[in-house]
Amino acid sequence: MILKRINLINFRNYSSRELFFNNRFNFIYGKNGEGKTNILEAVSITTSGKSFLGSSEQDCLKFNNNNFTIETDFENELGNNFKINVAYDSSIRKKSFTLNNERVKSFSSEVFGRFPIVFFSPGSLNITYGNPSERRKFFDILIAQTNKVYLENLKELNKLTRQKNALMKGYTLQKKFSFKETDDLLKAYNEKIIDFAFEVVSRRASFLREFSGYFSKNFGDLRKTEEPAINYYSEIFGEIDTELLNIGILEKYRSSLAEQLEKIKDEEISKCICLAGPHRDDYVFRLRKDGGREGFELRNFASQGEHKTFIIALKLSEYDYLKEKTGTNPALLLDDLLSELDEDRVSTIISHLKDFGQIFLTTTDINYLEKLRNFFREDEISIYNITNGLN
Amino acid sequence: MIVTSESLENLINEFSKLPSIGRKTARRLALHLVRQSDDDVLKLSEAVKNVKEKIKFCRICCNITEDEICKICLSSQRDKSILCVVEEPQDVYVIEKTNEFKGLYHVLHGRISPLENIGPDDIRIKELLNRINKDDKQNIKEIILALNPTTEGETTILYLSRLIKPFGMKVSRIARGIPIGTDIEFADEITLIKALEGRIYI
Repeated sequence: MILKRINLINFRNYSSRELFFNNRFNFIYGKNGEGKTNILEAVSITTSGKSFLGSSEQDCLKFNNNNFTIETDFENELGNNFKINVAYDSSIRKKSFTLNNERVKSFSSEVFGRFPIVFFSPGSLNITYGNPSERRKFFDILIAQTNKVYLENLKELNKLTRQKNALMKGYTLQKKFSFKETDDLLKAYNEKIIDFAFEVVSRRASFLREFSGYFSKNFGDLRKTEEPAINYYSEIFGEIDTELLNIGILEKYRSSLAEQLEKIKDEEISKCICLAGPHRDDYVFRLRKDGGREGFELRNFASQGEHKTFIIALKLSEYDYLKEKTGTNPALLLDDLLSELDEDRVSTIISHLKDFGQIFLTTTDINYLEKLRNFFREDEISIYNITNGLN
Repeated sequence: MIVTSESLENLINEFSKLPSIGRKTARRLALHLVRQSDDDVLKLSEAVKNVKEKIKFCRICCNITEDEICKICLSSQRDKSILCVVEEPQDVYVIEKTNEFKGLYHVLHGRISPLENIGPDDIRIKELLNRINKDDKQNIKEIILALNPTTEGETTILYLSRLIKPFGMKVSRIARGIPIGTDIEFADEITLIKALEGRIYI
């Protein structure tokens, strides 16, 4: 999929700005704070429905404006054109999408996952450094883009969890529900939660088994001295190699989760939050040096270099996985990435770039252009000098 | 902004409180009424007033009625052995329109949703249980739970079935699946999965 054009109206620091893009390399440079990332952010809103920076739509409004519009034109490998527009209206706090000028009724089934993008920024390092929620978010979005059933199950689980929390708050804090009501309702919520938790964890396990193949290959291309692993962690069965996370263990997960929920019921009720389920699971990144058995955990023991290699391999695998599953080349969005990396890794990344489809790179350093010219023809590179949204 | 008519502004405000009516539609409706004849407007205001004064909830099924007991519950033509539980009065209306269901109803007036502060006591569950409890002659043989297939509807079904099952009658829920006259290819994935799960042997 190729992004041909973008038009930003009252978005961030842009009043009105139209850009036409190169099919191969788009070099976006300018000083900090001039609005380079805003362009990439706008692409993330039309393709995934949300800003990948986690900003609210309200934050994306140009100062003193009540609505913004983003228009994006895509073209697929067969030459078909797609127009995805989003308009946000702050008076009703709603955004509405159109696909080829037809109103989109369900973003998740009509748009989400059809225009895959891989976004890589210094913030991506949070995936290996950060809390479990960062890893869940990364993998959830990746799985959901290629599996709508997973997305629906996840939404349902999330809603059940929020309902159950509200029930426990209603009982413990507001004294709104009786003990019997709460007890009976908790049983109903738990029964549903167990069903959906089973579906979600099963899907994560089968995804990881598939993803590990891409990941081992990409990691191996970057670094041979260690062997990486991504294990799955749940309080119910502990940390487990996904190869071992078979249907037998998953069936046991279902009954163990039921027991666990029964056991922690009083604690949940007094704290008014759900304390067990996939919303508390984690992905454990490990590296095993030659001869070592267990492998050490990246988050606590790895060097900065190892973290960076791991995250690069993760992002490359995200690209490969999306490409395979969606049957189209994802757009690669590299936001101010090179500044975070050392010379060696930058060279490695740049030399890999020619293998990708369309690329967007933002940087403050125009010198990278020279390096890129070793890999791309002159007509394959478009250069955008961004100065405060004007140019 | 200068408001030139407070009573008009007032009416717009009242209209915009109605479901699926925004500011603009409210203004259009209000201005429309201004242009209507006195007689028509009076009829409308009478109708609005009566709806609150005359409408009651049926003592048996909690559906909307103007009598103590609604016409469906009173009818001798209805099959008293089967009870269809629905969320809203409009659900009764659409099921009645099919002319296929001959049993009785029970209207819950909502579904359980703690997030919106709606618990079992806020909908007509107690009335349903009383009704089953008082059924000495065991007239009721089956209870159909015809709630919406949403997170809240589903949990309410589960909660109700736990409460009803000890009474010993059959408890069922309506099927989920592909709407008649549409193509399978246009069904969403979740509906399709549920339709596959709920397949029927022929």
